[in-house]
Parts: sequence; C-alpha cells; structure tokens
Amino acid sequence: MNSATLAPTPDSLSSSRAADPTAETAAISLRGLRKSYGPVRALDGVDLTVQPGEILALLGPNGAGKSTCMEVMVGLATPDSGRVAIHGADPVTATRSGVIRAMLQSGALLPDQTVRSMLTMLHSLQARPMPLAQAVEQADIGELMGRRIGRLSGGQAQRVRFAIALLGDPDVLLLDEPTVGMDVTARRAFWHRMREVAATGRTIVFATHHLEEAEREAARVVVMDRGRIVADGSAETISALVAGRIITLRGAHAAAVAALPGVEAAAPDEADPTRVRAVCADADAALRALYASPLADQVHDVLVTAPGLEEAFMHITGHSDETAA
Amino acid sequence: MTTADLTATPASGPGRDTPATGSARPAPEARHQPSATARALRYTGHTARMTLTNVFFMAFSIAMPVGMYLLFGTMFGDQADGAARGIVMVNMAAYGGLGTAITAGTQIQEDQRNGFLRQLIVSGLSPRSFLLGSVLAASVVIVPALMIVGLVGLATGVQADAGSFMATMGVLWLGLLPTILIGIALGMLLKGGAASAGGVVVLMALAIFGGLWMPLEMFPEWMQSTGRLLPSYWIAQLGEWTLIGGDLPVTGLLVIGTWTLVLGVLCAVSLSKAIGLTRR
Repeated sequence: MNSATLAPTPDSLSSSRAADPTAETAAISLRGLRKSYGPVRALDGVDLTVQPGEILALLGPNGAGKSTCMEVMVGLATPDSGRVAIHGADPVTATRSGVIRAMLQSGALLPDQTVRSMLTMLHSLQARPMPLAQAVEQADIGELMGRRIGRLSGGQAQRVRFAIALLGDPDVLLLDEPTVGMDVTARRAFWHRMREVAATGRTIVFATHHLEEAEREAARVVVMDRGRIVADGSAETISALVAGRIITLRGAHAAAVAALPGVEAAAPDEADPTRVRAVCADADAALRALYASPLADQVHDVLVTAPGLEEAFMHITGHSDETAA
Repeated sequence: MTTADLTATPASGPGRDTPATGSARPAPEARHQPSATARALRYTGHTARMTLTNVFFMAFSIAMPVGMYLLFGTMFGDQADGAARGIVMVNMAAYGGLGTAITAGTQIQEDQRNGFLRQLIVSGLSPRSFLLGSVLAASVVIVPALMIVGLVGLATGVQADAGSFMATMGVLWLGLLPTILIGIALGMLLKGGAASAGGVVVLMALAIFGGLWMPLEMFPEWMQSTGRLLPSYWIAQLGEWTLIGGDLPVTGLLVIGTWTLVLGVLCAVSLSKAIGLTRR
C-alpha cells in the first residue's frame, strides 16, 4: 500500500492557510472548506489545487460531498469556512465573467419549452459565449433542438445540460455525474465528445462514482468520502489502490494466509467462517507464494475477485483514518 | 481580478502532460461582457415572449375581464349619465391586469423554483437581475389585458379623449407593480399547486375588497376600511381620477408605494432563501 497517496494530501500539508501562492495561478484553489447542512457535514476540511488544463475526476460514493464541492466552486453554496479561488477570483465573480461553468446534477430545465428556445435564452446571458452552433455541435444535440424539453429521455436531457455548460465557453468546466441516465453506448459517445472539449485546454473536473470512468478519462483522481479528500493521485495509483484483489479460499488458517507476501490482511469470512478472505496488494505474488508453500496441498476453492467500489472506498477510508490517528 | 489575465496562465500542471491552454482559448479581453442590467433585460425579453405566446394563458387572462366588463357594463353602464361605464371599464381593466400580474408572477416564479434558477445563476444571471427580469416580464405581460379591456370600453361607449385614456392605462399599469410582486412573493413562499391556489385566493380578495367587482360602498364598514388599505382599491381610484378627474388620491399613492416597498424587500429576502431551498 502506497501511503504517500493518502490524505492528507502532500499539497495540503505544504500550503499554509495564511499565504497561499498557488491560489493566484491555479485554476481551482480550495483551502479548508467546511460546509454543514444542519447536522450533516457535507464538506469537512477540503483542500484541493487544480492546475490549468488538468482533467480531474472526483470519485466517491453518494453523499461524499462531490456535489457540494462543485456548488461551492460556482457560488451556488457558500462554505461555512475556508477559501475558494477560481483563477484567483471568488466563485461568484468567476461565474458572472464566464470563467467557470457547471453541468449540474439533474439540473432543472424548462419542460414546456423547446431545446432551442431555452438554449437561446441561456446563451444570451453568457458573459463571453461560444457560438450557439458550436455548443450544439460539441454536445451533439442538433437533432434535439426542435424538441420539447419535457419529452426528452434522461440521456438526451444530459446532453442538453452538457450544451448548457459549454455555452459560456468556460476555462473551468465542472461536470457533476454527467453520464447519469445514459446507457453504455450513450456513455461512450459522451466521453468521446468530452475528450474533444478537453482537447481545447479547458480545466475539467468531473464527479463520478464509476471507478472505470475516473481512471479512463482523468489523469488525476481525487477520492472523496464523507466530506473529505481521502486520496489524491494519478489514475494508475488510485486505480491500484482501489482495485486491490480479494482472494478467498478454504482449508487454511487466516493467520497462515495473512503471512503470505502480497497479502495485507486475512480473516474468516463473516458470512461463511470456514472461508478465509484475504485483502491483497499483489494477488499474483500471493498466489505464487501460496502454491509454493506447504499450504498448496491443503487449500481448495480458491477465488480471486475485485472488491466492490463500496468496499474499495471503505478500504481507502479505513487507511486514511489510521494515518490521521 | 479581471478576466484578462486568466488564460495567459500557461498550462503548467506539475509533472503532468496537459495541452497548451494558450492556443485554443481565445483572449477573454477581446470579448464584451454584458452588464447585469443587459442580462436582466435579455431574460425579461425571453420570459415575456414565452408567456405572451402561451395562447391559453393569454386567452384566459383577457377573456375574463372583457367578459365581466361587457356584463357589468350592460347592467350598470348607463347610470350617472354613462359615467358608470367608464368606471366599470377602469375596474375591469384593473381586475384583468391584477389577475394577469398575480398569475404571471406565480408562474414565472414557479418555473424557476424547481431549480432552473440555479441554471440561470450558473449561466451568469445574478439573483438580483433575475428578480428585476421577472418583474419587468410580468409588467410586459399585463399590457394586453389592460389595453384590450380599455379598447373594448372605447368601442362600447366609454367617453374619453386619447390623452386621458392613455393616462388611465398608464396609471393602471404603474399601479399594478405591487401586485406583480405579490405574485412573485407567492411563487417564492408557496410550493407548486399551493402557489396557484394561493394566487386565486389573493386575486379574489384583492378584487372584492378593492371594490373592483362591486362598489366598496355596498359593503359593511369593516370591509370598506380593509379595502382602503389595499393596492387594488387605489389602483382603480387612480384610474378613475385620470379618466374622470377630481382630486388626486394622495393616500392611494402612499398605500401603493408602501406595498411596493415592503413586497420588494420581501421578494429580495425570500429570493436568497429560495436559492438555498432549491438544492437538489
């Protein structure tokens, strides 16, 4: 386990609250963000710096604070404490001047109007719009322009929301779970279009709870959980971190399995105590060692599986609690 | 911080391959940024156009007061040597404007309260511009109801020269400002169906207590004194003053001004609350 990638991030350790030289040049600079909704801590001390041109995935389960984080960046939510700078400006100024735009999660549209009518209006409000035709083309909604918004499918509505976010021709583009409601084909097409948009040098931050999306589309992945950043690193690092393997087998003691190289921990399975469940950093090494050891003749029913994402999050979160303690 | 120095920053993610930002990103200073007022006016134009082209909405908002003018005009129009016809016209124009103002207010607000306001804000419209745009859009939308009742009045025997007719329409139009704010406030404070239902109740109350349907003098004393605190009563009184003459009802200006001020503050305050409420 590579503990260097775990929270608190090296970034937050090196930056002092008082003087933050990165805030002026960074595309996004978040420092000590806290935000509570009643008893719920949506953001619990978030520090994040995103450089211009970066493509970053915010990965985390529902309720991790991803949406709140984005709402704070566009000025829709005000943090209880902490500082936000978007290209050095406060979120409201950055939003008014078109520096930042967001594709809001299930953002409301006007169901009685046509796509064209609504987009024309939103286009007229932009500080520095891209040509409407260009946004329509980039979001691939040409054939939807004459349709009434209330009649669009979930995936089509998402494409319209994507077009809305592009209208302002922003330097920083936030996408909050952009592929919700899309089937696999639509998802693939969406990311294809997103890559074209990204190729023009925009800073892009997208929230997702799909690990595959995060590692495929982003160079950098930030994992959030319960309002905190629990891991921050390259897609490969996070992927390795999250996608550790689980080996389950019968016929050996947990302690003996835990002693194998590549195995981080092993314990009897809660559901089936005769089964040993081992969390591995390197499943290949563990298996090689297993079959080279005296255990080779005893074990049976050996299975190698990927942990579910929820389990992976718990894995990361559990470790970050240890390092914080 | 102006937008001028934003994209000048080179793509310098530490240890990361990023495309150059300079090449594809146009220089922001070359682009003209519209003012908050310009954005509010653009929002006004679009919203007013959408409402004016809503055939159902416009038909109802015009047919009701015109029908009632024709009914009451036939019944009482010839009283007081025909002057009553003018009063009925003013009252029904005020009623028509009132109904449209409240309905437009709640409807405009309803469209936004489900979260579209968030899209507008993220698109660069400030909450204040949104409020201004909503008020202006509603005040455009009430013009047809006012004018058509007035024109039907002229066509059916109301005596007025062009100047006093236009002055009457203008006074009614201006006087309806607080009722637009009532509609918007209702839309912000009540949810969905409750906003339209609340709008109907408030409309009826303002019409009856304001003496728009029947002269206030026909009602008991407590209703009369209540009516004199309402903008609807004074809107009609001001309209009669421009049409027929007499003393300027100064109290009316004060009452309408007070309502406008209080409701304006109420709308501004509940707007910031409404933004928070419309979270997913």
